[in-house]
Amino acid sequence: MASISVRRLSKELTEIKSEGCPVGITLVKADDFSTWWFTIEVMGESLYQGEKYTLQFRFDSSYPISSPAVQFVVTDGHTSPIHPHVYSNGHICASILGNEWSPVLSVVAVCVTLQSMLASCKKKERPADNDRYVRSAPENPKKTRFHYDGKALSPIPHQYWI
Amino acid sequence: MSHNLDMSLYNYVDVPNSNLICCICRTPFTDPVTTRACAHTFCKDCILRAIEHSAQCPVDRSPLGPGNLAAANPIVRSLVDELVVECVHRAEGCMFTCQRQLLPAHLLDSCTYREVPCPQGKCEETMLFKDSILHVHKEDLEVDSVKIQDAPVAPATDEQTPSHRPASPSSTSTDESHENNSSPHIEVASSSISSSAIHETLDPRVATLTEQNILLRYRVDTLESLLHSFKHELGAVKRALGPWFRVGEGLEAGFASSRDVGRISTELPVGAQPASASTSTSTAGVVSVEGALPPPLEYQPPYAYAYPFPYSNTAPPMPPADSLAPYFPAELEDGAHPLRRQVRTHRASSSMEFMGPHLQPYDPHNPFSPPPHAPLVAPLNLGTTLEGTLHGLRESVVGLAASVDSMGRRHEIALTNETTRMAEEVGGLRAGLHGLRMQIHAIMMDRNAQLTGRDGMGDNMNGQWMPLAGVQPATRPFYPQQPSITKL
Repeated sequence: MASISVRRLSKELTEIKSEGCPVGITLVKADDFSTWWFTIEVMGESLYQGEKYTLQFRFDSSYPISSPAVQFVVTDGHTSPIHPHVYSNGHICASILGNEWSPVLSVVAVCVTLQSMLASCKKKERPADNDRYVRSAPENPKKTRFHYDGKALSPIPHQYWI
Repeated sequence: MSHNLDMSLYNYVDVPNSNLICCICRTPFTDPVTTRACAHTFCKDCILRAIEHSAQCPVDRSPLGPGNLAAANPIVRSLVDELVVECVHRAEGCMFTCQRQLLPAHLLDSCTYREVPCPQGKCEETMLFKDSILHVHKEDLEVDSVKIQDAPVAPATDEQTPSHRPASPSSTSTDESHENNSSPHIEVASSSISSSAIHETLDPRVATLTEQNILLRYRVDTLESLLHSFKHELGAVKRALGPWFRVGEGLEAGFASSRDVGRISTELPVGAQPASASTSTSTAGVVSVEGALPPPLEYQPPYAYAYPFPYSNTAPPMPPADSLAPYFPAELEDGAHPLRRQVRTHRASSSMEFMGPHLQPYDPHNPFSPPPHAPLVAPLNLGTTLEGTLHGLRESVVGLAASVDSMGRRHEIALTNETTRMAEEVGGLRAGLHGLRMQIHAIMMDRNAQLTGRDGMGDNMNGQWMPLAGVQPATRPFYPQQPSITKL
């Protein structure tokens, strides 16, 4: 089982190395097949103009069937963007990282989606329950049962799940 | 398709068309399947794993279950199977490339870098095929090969087999590990085989055979699928025919005996001759044009089953009329049998119309007259062939037609009688009425005469009643004075 993630990730890596990343996205490190780092930057006019953020991807043995664990890096001087769906610990509430993940998506696709999520933000603010969530959040964002409703993606942390 | 994991590791010589790449594993499809609803194609294993995790199509998230997957279009399958790949032993030196579907055969039979056990079966060692040619045991060597030393040294000192030299250095260099670890594998000096020669002769032949094998396999697959479709059709035909689907004793028997129909049918009762003229050609329930007797075989093709023909095998030929009785037992009519309707064509229905003119001579000439009551219709004779059943059915219809006709006649007769009687009655009534009229006339005449007798007027010599001016007969008593000659 582990081999399908390895094969798929090696394909993605080869593709990134040969064709490069879309503009605004850069590969920081991909030494193994378990953790990769990217930086994303929102191009053009936006609230985050000129800001660069670091994303961390963690893969398990059943990638791409299962989604990667994606979060912004907040250690060592990195910060997470201030966005209604990004918590201060770097966890992201995005449907494609949860129930709308599909094996068709790739690492680059996720980066692009997050890039557009930032670009379409109207107001820089933290999520409403940021402090409460950050206090008791699990280490791996995949363990959080985010609740996505129609308008605003409002996360419900795992411990509130019955 | 049992090498799925290996297949994903294949190196493709050319960049495959992007349409043939599975979006889950990002390699060309292995055992592709396509979703029924949204027509997306994936490797079978990839999509099954994805569905296990989340039952939706990875491309458009439409609901998807294992039952909604069908084998991909054979064209797609062929396209991926024919992609050219390198041999998996490329790193070891095998430069062979072939279509992906042919690689397993290559690895099994012809790759010189595949691992094989000792060809003599004497030791447990495995080695590369190309080296196994040269793998011999000491005890199998000939006497004069004693001269030959251990493999690394042997070629240099060997004078008898110059042909070995080109081959042996290469083989020995890679074989060192083998030969150092085990009992010395001494090259057979006097053997006339050399590894390169063997490769030259065997490889093309093996490749050809492999190709032919693959082709044959494809043919077998095609034939199997054809067979399957035939079986399916046959099953449908079987179901359609129902009780009449019986494999006959012999096709020839059925067909050949149909020639006898014309003859046998002449044994039918004389009165039924005009009807039988059409019967003889209705081997399949089809009524031909009156007077024409095309060969019975003409009607066989539409019903080309191997049936024992009723006249020859199961039922005796039509005997004289009395034995038509078996066709009219006291049982219920098997009315709307759907099968009957199915097999009965428009031609069968037209037989009814055709039978009309035949019935005219049928009734008076036929010694077998229909019973006064309506004949009961026999049930379908399922014990015989389709033609036999239809023939029995037709006989029942004929009998029914005859009885209908006779009933018509009876009705006519009754009607005639009634009419006559009624006419007579009417005549009688008319006469009576006439008489009454005359009576009244006579009475009125008498009264008139009485009145005119007093008033001095005679009655009209015509006997007509003439009103008298000024007379008020109601005021005078009226008594008939003498009987009138017109009284009846």
